[in-house]
Amino acid sequence: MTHPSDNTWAPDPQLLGAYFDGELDSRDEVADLRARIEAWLEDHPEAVQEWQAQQRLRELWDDTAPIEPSAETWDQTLDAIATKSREAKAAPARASAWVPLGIVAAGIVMAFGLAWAAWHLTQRPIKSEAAPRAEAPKASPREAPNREDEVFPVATSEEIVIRRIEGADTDVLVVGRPPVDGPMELAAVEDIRVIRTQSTPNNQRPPAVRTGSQRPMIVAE
Amino acid sequence: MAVGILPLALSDESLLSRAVAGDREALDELFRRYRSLAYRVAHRLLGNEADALDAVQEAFIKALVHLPSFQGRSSFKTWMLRVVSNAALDLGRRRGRHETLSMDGLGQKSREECEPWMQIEPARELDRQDLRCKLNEALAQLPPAQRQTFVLHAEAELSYREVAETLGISIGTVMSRLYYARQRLRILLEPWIKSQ
Repeated sequence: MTHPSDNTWAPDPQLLGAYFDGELDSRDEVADLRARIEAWLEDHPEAVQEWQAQQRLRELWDDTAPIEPSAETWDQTLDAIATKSREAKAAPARASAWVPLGIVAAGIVMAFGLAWAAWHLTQRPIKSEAAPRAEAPKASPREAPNREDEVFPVATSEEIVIRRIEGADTDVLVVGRPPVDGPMELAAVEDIRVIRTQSTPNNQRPPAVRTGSQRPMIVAE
Repeated sequence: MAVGILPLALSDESLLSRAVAGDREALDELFRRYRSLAYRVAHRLLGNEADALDAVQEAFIKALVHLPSFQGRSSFKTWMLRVVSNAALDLGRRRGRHETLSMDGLGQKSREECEPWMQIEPARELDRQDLRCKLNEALAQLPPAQRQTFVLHAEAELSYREVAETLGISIGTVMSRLYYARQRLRILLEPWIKSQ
């Protein structure tokens, strides 16, 4: 299939990589795109070098495949998995055995507390509204418990999804589309290279690119 | 002791459920199915056997302890690969932070890693081991997300769609990360790629 009216068209390098990876094979919905790329490749034999380089990297990769551990090592690993997973599952169970006792103890303490508070309320002398407030003890910051002493784990990295990061006070840019999941990929100024800009249908002016900023902000004007 | 015969055709999900319930044979079979794949991915991300085995161990323990997070939304294979590759990156970050304190320790580890190869096939494997160390060094220079994406595609042979599903990202992001990872690796490994 040829596209004589579209001589300027060229596949994006990433799309070309997907083509060489066979990602467009046997998919009817991209048959036209595949044919278009193949036609383009006929006119651009130099692009096949890209494929050859990809192939050489593949050969290098295959040639350096990790050596499998010994059977003994696998057995030791499996034993460790069985033991540690049993322990990990038992830990919350042991903890949960104390929960009913804890609830009873908390209930007793709360009942005593309420009784004590009620008794104090009935015994407290009625004071006028104008009573000096200076008598109230001031809490000293030094007496306050140090909340940084104990850290409670509330979530693992796998349980957190970052949906947005404000960029005003950072010198990096989160890469990817929100919500960002898994390890966060951050780009600094030196990691970003503007390859192409294009205008939107509503605005025919291409975005202006300004370099030299300390922050990797992408600004459309 | 009676030994039950575990059907080889049992699905991963059934094996996982049984393993979580304490069935050791089910765990053995599940481990046998995925240990090699998980190990290769972890090894590519970490560069040595000991750390890779730690990551595999951590991933399987997570699978057994946190079964509800699986929920059957994806295949066990992609879920396991996500857990093991995340565990490997976490481990790499933790070990990396420690190792930056002692460059001697890092050098020692590299030498230890080279020794088994030399003992197995002394002459011919020297070049390959050198190549292997260079590849590990080049991989270590990629940003973690690019490295993870590239390894899942190249080592686990996942399609773009499977990589996207495993990492919870779009196919466009997979394309982009693979492209930049390859570009970088080709530059870093140019002398070795040319001599292939």
